[in-house]
Amino acid sequence: MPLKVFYNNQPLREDLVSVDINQADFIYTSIKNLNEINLLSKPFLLNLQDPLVTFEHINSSQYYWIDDKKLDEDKINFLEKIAERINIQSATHQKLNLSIKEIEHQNSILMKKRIKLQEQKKINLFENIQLQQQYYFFYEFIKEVEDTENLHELLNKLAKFFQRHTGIKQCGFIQFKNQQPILILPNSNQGHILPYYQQLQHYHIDDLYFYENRLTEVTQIINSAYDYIHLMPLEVSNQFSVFFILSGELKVSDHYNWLLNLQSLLKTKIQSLSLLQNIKKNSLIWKSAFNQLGLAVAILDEKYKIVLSNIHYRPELHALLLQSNRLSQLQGEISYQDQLYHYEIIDIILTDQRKFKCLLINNIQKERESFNQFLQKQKLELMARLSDRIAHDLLNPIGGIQSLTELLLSETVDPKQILYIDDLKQIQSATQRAIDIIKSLQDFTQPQSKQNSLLNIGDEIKTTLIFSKSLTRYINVKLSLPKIPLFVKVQKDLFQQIIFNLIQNAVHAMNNQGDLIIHVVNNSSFVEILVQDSGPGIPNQLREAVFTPLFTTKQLGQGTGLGLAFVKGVIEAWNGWIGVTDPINNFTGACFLVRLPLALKGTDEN
Amino acid sequence: MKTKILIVDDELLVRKALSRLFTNSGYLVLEAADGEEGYHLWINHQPDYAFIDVMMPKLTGPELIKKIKAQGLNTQTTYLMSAFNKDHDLPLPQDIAGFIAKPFDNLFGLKDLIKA
Repeated sequence: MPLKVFYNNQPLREDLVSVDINQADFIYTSIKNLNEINLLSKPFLLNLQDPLVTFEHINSSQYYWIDDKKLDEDKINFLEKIAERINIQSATHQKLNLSIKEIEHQNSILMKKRIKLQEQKKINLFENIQLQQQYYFFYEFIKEVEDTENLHELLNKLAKFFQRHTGIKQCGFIQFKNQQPILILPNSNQGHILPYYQQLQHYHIDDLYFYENRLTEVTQIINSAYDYIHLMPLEVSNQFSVFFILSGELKVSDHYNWLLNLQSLLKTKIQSLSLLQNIKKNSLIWKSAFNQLGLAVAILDEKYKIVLSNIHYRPELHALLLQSNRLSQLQGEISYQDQLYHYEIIDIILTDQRKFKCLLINNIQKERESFNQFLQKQKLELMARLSDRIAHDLLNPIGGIQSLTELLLSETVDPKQILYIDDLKQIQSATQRAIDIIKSLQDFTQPQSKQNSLLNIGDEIKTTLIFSKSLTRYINVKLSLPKIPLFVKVQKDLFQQIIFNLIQNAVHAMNNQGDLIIHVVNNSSFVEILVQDSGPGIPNQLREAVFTPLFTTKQLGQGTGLGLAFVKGVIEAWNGWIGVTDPINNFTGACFLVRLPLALKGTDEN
Repeated sequence: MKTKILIVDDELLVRKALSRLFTNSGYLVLEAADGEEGYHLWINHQPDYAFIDVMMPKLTGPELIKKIKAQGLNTQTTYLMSAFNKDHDLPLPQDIAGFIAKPFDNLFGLKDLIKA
């Protein structure tokens, strides 16, 4: 059966010329005639080349078939033939191939959207409500954007506001490249404006870049093309404009006044927003610069009370400075929680003559530490350079004393003089020790590899104690040794010197009276020598520091501060370890632990 | 005639020790406290042996030896002495007998250097 198709009220095929429109199977039509066709309740086809046809129409249930008839294979084939005949574009052709299911699905979505829209308070700003109501919504909007601090947010809110209160989903903003965002508000719900809106969108996406700074031109293009469309530019700031598209069918003048009001109010709001934004931006720049300063900065009033501060500012330091009346000095240093701070007060006078004080606090602990370390290094270098000279100047007279003593000893044969011999021997051993110490100092600054020898620790400590007799004459010394002798393979003189050094420190710490215990034990492959005194002990925080060069608790001139640093250096060179440990056996004083690798007797011989 | 030994050292105790050592052995000892004094004693007395400190005021040990050699005198039995660590490794002046480190490790051994 031949299909009867009408095109714009004219039969499409010649053989159907005489057929009445009521007899047509399909009506091929344009949007203009939709109302007419609606009355016929006939399935109809839209002219897909008509610029007024949009995707929405294609998917709409109103479109393909307004009756209940299903789209079957035959009908699709027919539509395809029609499409070929009228040379519809392939893109549109694709849409015609939508399966029935898809079409139904699209329909149901659209239906849901519509119901939702109806449920919302749907008011058409331009047609259904009175001017008073328009004002009401407008003020509501202003109220809504009161707290908005961002221009784009404001524009989005504006668009949503119109969408909500007009039910017109197509309203929104378009923004030219580097240009003002534009509110596009189609004023009709009849779909008339839609194609033009889309055309405008099309321009926006692809072509409007050519119209940068040519808004007037765009306006003219649209106004001249469609005489019932008015594009109403509302230039509210030099940054953007708001456009309303008004339909010629409506009385523009009715809306003009309130639009002007909107314009001026928006202008104010936007200007204040821009200003606020600028202030915020500047204050942010200032704030981040303020905070990125490495030092604490605080602005104080004349009574030193805090007005403003950056993140590094610490109120407890401020309080400490206030407490100690330090702020009257314009600058100084203050210690707090083991850190050293430098502070400075600068007077500030603002242009309005108000007076403030700027307090700057800088943590200079690290700086000071590295400076001190630098000084110590300098001192050590100087020591090294001078040590040879010092050694020479000391060794000459001491060497002389030693030689003379030796001679005197060799000459003393008279039994009457025998009393002197012990004294001379004391002098001899003392000078020998002095010479050894000076030579070790030379070794310390100019390390030379000397021969290591296998030493019985017990014997060496005993010998050292004999040397130290005059030093320890008021001290109660206890030496506890393991039953089996322990051996280490180190330099003999240095080992004795280390033991002597530890004994000397202990004696000095005890102020020449008290108990000294030297305890030797075997701990797996190490020998441990504990030197413990009954003096005041070493505070925990100084346990590391006592080994740093030039550190001394003795009074100026009494200690070189080199003793323990030297000891540590030597012991570590022997792969040993020295440290301060907790005292044992109910002792309260200092306890030094020396750990040296054990040597097996007999390995020395090679 | 007694063997003459010249000791030049600015350190009194060193001079005294050496002097005592050699006097006890029966030698004639001449003492000088600096290089210049040592030079005059050397010229005037022509010692058989000399023990000369390296670091001295006015004239150092090596300078003194150079000056003596310039006079055509013999320095083959002269010893240089030093307590300076680094001097131990220095090249010795030519035509001297040897170098002795101070303080003396073996004081009485020094006597063996002298051949009567």
